[in-house]
Amino acid sequence: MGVSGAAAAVAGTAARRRSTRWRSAVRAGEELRTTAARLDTLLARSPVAFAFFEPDGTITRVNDTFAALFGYRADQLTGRRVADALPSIWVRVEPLFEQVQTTGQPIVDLEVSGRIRSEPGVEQHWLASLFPVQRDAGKPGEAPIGLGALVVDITERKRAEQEIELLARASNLFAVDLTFDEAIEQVARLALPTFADVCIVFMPTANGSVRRATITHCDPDMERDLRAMSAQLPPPTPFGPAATAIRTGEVQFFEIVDEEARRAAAQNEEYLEYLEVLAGKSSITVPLGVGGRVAGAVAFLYTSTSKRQYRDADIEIARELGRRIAQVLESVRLAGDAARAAARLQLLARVGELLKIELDLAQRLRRVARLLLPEFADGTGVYLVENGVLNLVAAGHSDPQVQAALERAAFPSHGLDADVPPCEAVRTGRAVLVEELPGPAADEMVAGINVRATGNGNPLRSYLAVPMFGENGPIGALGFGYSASGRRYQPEDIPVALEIARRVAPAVENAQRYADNREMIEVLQRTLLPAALPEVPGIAITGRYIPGAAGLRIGGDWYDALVLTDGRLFLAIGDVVGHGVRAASSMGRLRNALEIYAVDNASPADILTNLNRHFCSFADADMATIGLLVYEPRTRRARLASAGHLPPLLREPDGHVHYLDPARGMPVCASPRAIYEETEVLITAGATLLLYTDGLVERRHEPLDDGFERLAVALRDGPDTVEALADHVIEKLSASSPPTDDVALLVVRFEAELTEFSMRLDAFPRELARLRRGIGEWAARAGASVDECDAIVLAVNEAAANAVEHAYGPGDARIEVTATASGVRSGAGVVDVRVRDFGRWRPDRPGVGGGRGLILIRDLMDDVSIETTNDGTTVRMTRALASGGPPA
Amino acid sequence: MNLAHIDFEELPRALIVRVKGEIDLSNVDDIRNEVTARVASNIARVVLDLSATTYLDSSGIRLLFDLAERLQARRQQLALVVTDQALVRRVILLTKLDDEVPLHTTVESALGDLA
Repeated sequence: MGVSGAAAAVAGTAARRRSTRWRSAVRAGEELRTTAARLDTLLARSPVAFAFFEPDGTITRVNDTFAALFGYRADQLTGRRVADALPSIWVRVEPLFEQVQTTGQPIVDLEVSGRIRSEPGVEQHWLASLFPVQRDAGKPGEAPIGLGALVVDITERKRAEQEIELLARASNLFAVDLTFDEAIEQVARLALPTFADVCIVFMPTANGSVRRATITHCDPDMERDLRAMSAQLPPPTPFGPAATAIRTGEVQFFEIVDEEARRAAAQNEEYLEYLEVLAGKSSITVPLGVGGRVAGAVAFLYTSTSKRQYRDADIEIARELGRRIAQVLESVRLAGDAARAAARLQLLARVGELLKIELDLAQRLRRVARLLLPEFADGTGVYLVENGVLNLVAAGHSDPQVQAALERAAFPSHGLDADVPPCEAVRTGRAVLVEELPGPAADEMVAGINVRATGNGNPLRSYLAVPMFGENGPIGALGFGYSASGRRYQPEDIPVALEIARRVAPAVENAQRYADNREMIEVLQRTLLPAALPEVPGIAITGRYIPGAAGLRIGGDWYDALVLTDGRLFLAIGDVVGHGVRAASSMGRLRNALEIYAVDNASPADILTNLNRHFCSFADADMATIGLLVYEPRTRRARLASAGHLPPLLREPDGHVHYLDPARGMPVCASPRAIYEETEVLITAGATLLLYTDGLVERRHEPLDDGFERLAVALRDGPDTVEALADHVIEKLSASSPPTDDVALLVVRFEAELTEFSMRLDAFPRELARLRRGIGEWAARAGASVDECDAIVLAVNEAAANAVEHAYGPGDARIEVTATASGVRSGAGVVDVRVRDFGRWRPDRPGVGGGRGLILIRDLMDDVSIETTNDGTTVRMTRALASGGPPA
Repeated sequence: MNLAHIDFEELPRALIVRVKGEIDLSNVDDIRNEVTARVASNIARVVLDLSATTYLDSSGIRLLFDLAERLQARRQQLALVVTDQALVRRVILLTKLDDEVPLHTTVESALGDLA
């Protein structure tokens, strides 16, 4: 500073000195000239920019470095006023000139920015120091005779700083938990305002075009206007920078965007207007590439707002920014995908649950509408085709207020040809995806589920409609919308939505089918089936009723089972002639009457005789066939009577199947004088009885005997348990042609003696679990307490395990376990178990578990004996039961 | 057929082994192999949680005796977690396994200071 101050002083005062002191002046002038010349040389060569000004801002001396900062040569500036030569700079520095002259204090290292002639689109940054030049250097209080300036260009340093900050900000987004759409908003703000006036994020769409995912502007008002306009516009042109960047993966750089370029890019007047408001002056569009895939593009624009321009050096910054943005979006997307995948599984499970619950149509539809909120939609609509139009029949919304409004709303309907996604889905049978709904048109367009939501400022922004198919084609559609959550449907969501529709459709269709007949269903449910089948020890019972002809022919078939007060089991099956509500209610009356007669009558023939006489007196009574069976457990005898009903079928324990032949009487209500007779059969332990109605065996154009034969085979080959057997019989009899009439079926299995247990197993360890289940269940049924059951199971398992472990080979790989319980009813119950194998015991045979097996057996059972013969070994164990009596 | 499901939880100084299901002659060897393979040398205690074990026969008891012995040789401990009412407890008491191996009713108490 000292040097330049002195030089300035010398330069400023030379003339005056010459006039006053001639001689010395000449010498001094020589010196000064020499000094000034030296200084000029020094200044000219200095890498630091210097300039000297008159107090009014006239440039008196300037070096080339200084002039070059502003795009001039030194001689082009010398003698000119700053205000004329560098007007945009003068605006900023004039107050500083004033300040220095007034205070006499220098301003040091002040950051100044501005534009220069040669690069009008680039903001330059300088570090400037401005100091007063005084006549007598260092004398305080004296007004300066001029100003000196020392300037350093820091534009590049500034740019580097901004770049680092920018990239750091991008990376910070990794730490934030964002949804995909939030992430897009955030990344679009990163570059504002340091690196862009406007930022637009583009995403590729399913159909290969490009959509504007978001647009940001450093001026909030401008941003609002641009967003509103952008929502109305067609997608960007496929030849534009965004689409090109996405397609080619190359950066698109436009140093200057002029009016002509803008006109070329605009597809219509509105688009041109948008581009003019946008007023882009310079742009860089970079692809968002992750792992060799381009997931979108970001455009950075300088506009007329800042009038800046991108330079070649900015491309690398933009590219790097794009890379980080892509990584942020990818990580958010992956996190979203993982969460979404988990949520989808839950959704589908939930849909599955729905189908199990018996609901009427309206309930079921409401439930469907709400099922998928909020995971898969903010708003949902269920649409059904009814009389050629598509009606919105149920709607749901994750916002409780909107939901409440929807409950009260009257739903719209549309002609199937309407141009709305649900109608299109029904028409085409395909999913209709609208990733981005165009603004306010949204609700108009989907015309339904969120029409009222708009009132809450909650318009739909993304929409997906999928068709629902019934047995005979489309029955309606499901519509899903995202609004407040800002989420978007993407092509990946389509398979999930279709799967949801596929699962929901049958539930809706069934409910719909029955809706018309609901009254009938209710009558049936009250009267057709007993509320619960009786639980009788040693007897397993199950019943089935299947409506005929795809559920629409509901008739008068029924079954009944009850235990009479004396312990007898009463079984009935019947078929009222005719169909519909009348048959169903008539059957209900018969059933009630039968139960009453059954209580007072020991004989099924008497029951039928009384019932017939009674019902024949009713004017409106319908004819009916009835089969009755009364079983006495003590004697195992069953008495049967039939009023024109088909004969019961019995499967003996050995698998032999035969029809019982009850004395066949006339149908009830055929004649008041009908007489009924009965027959008696002994039911073998382990036998299974089948009562059924004609719908099961009768087929049009087919002799009845074929049906009987089919039923006999089905019973013979069927499984043991009644539930599985009932399903098996129905399946086999419906296989070739499903029953057209309704069907009632009662399956009763008379178990073997409760007091006996017998099981044969192979001598393999894996058989032990089966043995434990069997003996445990038997012991419990025989009246053993939980502790006693445990003890018996443990002991039997140990004995069998011992046989398994010491069997010599497959030849003797067989074990028989038999057990009896006696005296249980009298309160002095004893369980006696034998475990027999057919192998030869090795003389040194230890026990399982190092001999602990036998210890266990002896501890758990009262009496244990082991008998070994040439044929094998039998372990015999007994144990007393503490309290008698099998479970009631 | 898999009667039992085993899962392991590794703590810094203890291994918790939970056996859900039944232990009998058919799977006792598999369980033995699976458990011994997981016992690292740096742990102090193996906590065998049998509270979800619904069946244990004498071959299972033998496994537990063996395991206790083997761990002891390596200066490691075995602790069992058995609920009060279980069939499993009854078998353990009958075979006097509780003389050799401490019984606990919760994993926390079995872990003690190693929790």
